[in-house]
Amino acid sequence: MLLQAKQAVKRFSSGTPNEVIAVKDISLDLSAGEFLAIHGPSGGGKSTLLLILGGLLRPDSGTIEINGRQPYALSAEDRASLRATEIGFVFQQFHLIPYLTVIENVIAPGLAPRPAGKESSHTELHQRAVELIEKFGLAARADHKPGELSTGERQRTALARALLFKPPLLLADEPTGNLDDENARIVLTAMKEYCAEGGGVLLVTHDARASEYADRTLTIRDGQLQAENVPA
Amino acid sequence: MSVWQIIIKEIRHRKLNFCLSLVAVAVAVAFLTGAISLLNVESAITHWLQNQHQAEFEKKIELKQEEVQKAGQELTEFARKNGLLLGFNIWILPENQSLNELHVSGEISQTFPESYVHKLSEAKVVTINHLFPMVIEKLTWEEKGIDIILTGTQGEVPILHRTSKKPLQDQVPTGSMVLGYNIHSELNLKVGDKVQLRGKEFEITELYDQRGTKDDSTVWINLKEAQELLGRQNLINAILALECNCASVDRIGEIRQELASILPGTKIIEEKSRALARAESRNKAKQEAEESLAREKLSGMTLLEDQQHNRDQLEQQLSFFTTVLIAFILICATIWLGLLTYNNVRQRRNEIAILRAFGVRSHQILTTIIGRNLIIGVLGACAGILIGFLAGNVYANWSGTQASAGYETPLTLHLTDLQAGSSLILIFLLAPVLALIAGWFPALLASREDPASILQSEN
Ligand SMILES: Nc1ncnc2c1ncn2[C@@H]1O[C@H](COP(=O)(O)OP(=O)(O)OP(=O)(O)O)[C@@H](O)[C@H]1O
Ligand SMILES: [Mg+2]
Repeated sequence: MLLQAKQAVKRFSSGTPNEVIAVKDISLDLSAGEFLAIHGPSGGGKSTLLLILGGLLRPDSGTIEINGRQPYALSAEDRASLRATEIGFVFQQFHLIPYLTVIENVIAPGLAPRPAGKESSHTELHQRAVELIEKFGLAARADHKPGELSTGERQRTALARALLFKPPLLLADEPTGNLDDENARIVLTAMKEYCAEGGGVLLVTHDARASEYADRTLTIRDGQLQAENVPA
Repeated sequence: MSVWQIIIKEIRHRKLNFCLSLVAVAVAVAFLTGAISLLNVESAITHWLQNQHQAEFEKKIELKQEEVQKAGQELTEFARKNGLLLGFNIWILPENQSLNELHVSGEISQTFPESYVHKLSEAKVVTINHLFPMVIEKLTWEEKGIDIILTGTQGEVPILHRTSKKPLQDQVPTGSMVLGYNIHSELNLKVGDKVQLRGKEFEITELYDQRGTKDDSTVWINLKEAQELLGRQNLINAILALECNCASVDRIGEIRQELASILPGTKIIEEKSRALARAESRNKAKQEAEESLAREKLSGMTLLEDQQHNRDQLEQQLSFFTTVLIAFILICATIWLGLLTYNNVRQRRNEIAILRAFGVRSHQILTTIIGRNLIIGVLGACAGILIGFLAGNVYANWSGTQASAGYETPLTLHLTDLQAGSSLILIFLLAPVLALIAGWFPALLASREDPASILQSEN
C-alpha cells in the first residue's frame, strides 16, 4: 500500500471554547497507480487531511504510513527526507518562489538532498523540468517569474514542480480551483497520466470536474469521510 | 540550483531590504574605519609635533651651549693673555679686621698670631705658593716728620711640602730698610744712608721706583724689628700669598675653602687689579650663560613634558569618545541589520515553508539566510572601508596642514598613518561577523518554523 491512514484525528485549539476537530477519525488507503479524489465543502478539513497525509502536520492520534514508513515516527530531518523522496505537493495557493523563473521553480525541489542512489545531476533535473514544462504548455513561459503568469500557468508550474522527481505519491490541494475548463482538463489529464505511469494521486477539491478523472471519490464533511462512491 | 544561486536571486528580487542592510553595515564600518583613521592621524600628528618641539628645543640648547662655550673660550683667552691663570695675590687677614678701615686709612689694626703662617706652611695647601707674613702700621716717622706705612716683612716662609721652589722675594735683612718712592724722593735719601726710626738705626738698602700705589708711601723693615718697634711680638696683621694656582676661575672660592679648615679666624681678600675685575665679569658672563642654559633646559623639558601630557590627554579623551561612539554605532547597526533580516525572513515565510515541504533541510534554510547576511557583511565592509578610508584621507590631509601651520616643514601623512593593514583586516572580518550575529536569530526562527502552520493558514 502506497498510503495508509488509520483513525487520524486532528484538533485545533483543543481545550478551548474554540476547539475545532478538523479531521475526525479518518482512515483511508491509496495504492500505487490509483487516483483518489476527496470532495468536500469549504472548511470540511480537506487541506488539514492533506497536510497530515503528507507528513507536514502531526495528527493528534492515529497513524500514517507512506510506503510502509510512518512519517511521524521519524525525526524531523528524516521526515523531510521522506517527503523529498516519496511525495510531491501541489498547494491551493501554489506557493511559487517569486524571484525564480518557471523553470527554476520547477527545479527548486532539487535543493533538498536526495538519498544515496537517487541523486540527479543538474542536467538531468533540467532535462526533466524542460519536459514537464513542455507537457504543461509552459515552454513559452519558462523564463518568466510567477508574477508574470496567469493563475492557470502558476497552477501548472506548481504541478510540474511537484512531479520533478516523479514521486510515488502526489498530494494536490484544489489544483483546479481557479482554473477554466481547458486548464482544469490539462491538469487533471496530467494527473491521470501520472497514475497510469504508476504514481498514486490524492486530490482534494470541491471541484466536481475532478470526479470524472478519479478512480475513486470520497466526501469529507466536518472532518469526517462520508461515503465512498466508485464511479461506474 | 544551489543555495547560493537562491541567495543571489533573492537579493536581486528584494533590492530595497538588501540595500538598506548594506547601508547599515557600510555606515558602521565607515565609522569604525574613519574613527581608527582619526585616532591614528592624531597620534601621528602628536608624534610629529613632539619631534618638532624636541628638535626646536635641541636647537635652542645647542645655541646656548655654543654661547657657554664661547664665553668660556673668551674667559680662558683673556686670562691667558693677562697671565691670570699663572697666579694672583691674596691677603689673609684677621677675621674681625674691618675692610673699611683698611681701605679708608690703609691700616690694619687687628692681629693674629705669627704661628699662623707656620701652620699654613706646614699644611699641605695646594692653592697658594708663596707666603709672606707681615705687620703693617700707619705711623708718623718722628725723626723725619713724615707719615708712612711701616711694613715689617720676613720674606717668604717656604711651604714645607714643596721646598724645591725658589723664594720669590728676598728677606729684608735685620737693620736694613727699603723705601717707597714718595719717601725717598721727599726725604732725599739714597742707598747706604743711615736713618733713625723710633730711636733704632737702619741702613737704606733699596729704593723703589714709583708704582702709583700705597707702596710709594711704604717703608719696609725686617718683621722681627717691626714687631719690636710696634710692641707686637709674635703677632702679625696679614699674610700675603702670592701666585695662587687655581684650577677654576673662581679662585677666591677655591682658596677660601682650603684655608677655612686650616686657619679658622681668618678671612681673605683678593688684591684686585683691573684685569681681574674684567676677568671676573667675563667669568660672570660665562656663569650666566651656563645658568641660562640650565634654565632653558629645565623650562624646555617642562614645556615638552606639558605639551606631551596635553596631547596624551587629548588623545585619551578622543579615543574614549570614539570608542563609545563606535560601540554605539556598531550595536545600532547590528540591531538594524537584525530587524531588516527579520523583516526579510517574514516576507519569505511561504517560500521557506514550501522548500521545507519539499524536503529542504532546516540547515539549508539557515544557510540561505546567514549566507545572505555574509554577503551583506563582506560587501558592506568593502564599501565602508573605502568610504571610511577616503574620509580619513581627507581628514588626514586637512589635519596635517592644520597641525604643521607655522612650522618649516609641512606635515604630509601617509596611508600607513591612517590604518595599519592588520586593523583593516580586523575590520574586514568584524563586519561579516556582526552581520552573522544580526542574522542568526531571524535565521534560526525561519529554519525552525513549522511549515504546516504557514501552508495551512495560507490555504
Ligand atoms: N491552524 C488552525 N487553527 C484553528 N483552526 C483551524 C486551523 N486550520 C484549520 N482550521 C479549521 O479546521 C477546519 C478545516 O480547515 P481546512 O483548511 O482543512 O478546510 P478545507 O476543507 O481545506 O477548506 P477550503 O476548501 O476552504 O480550503 C476549518 O473549520 C478551519 O477553520
Ligand atoms: Mg483547503
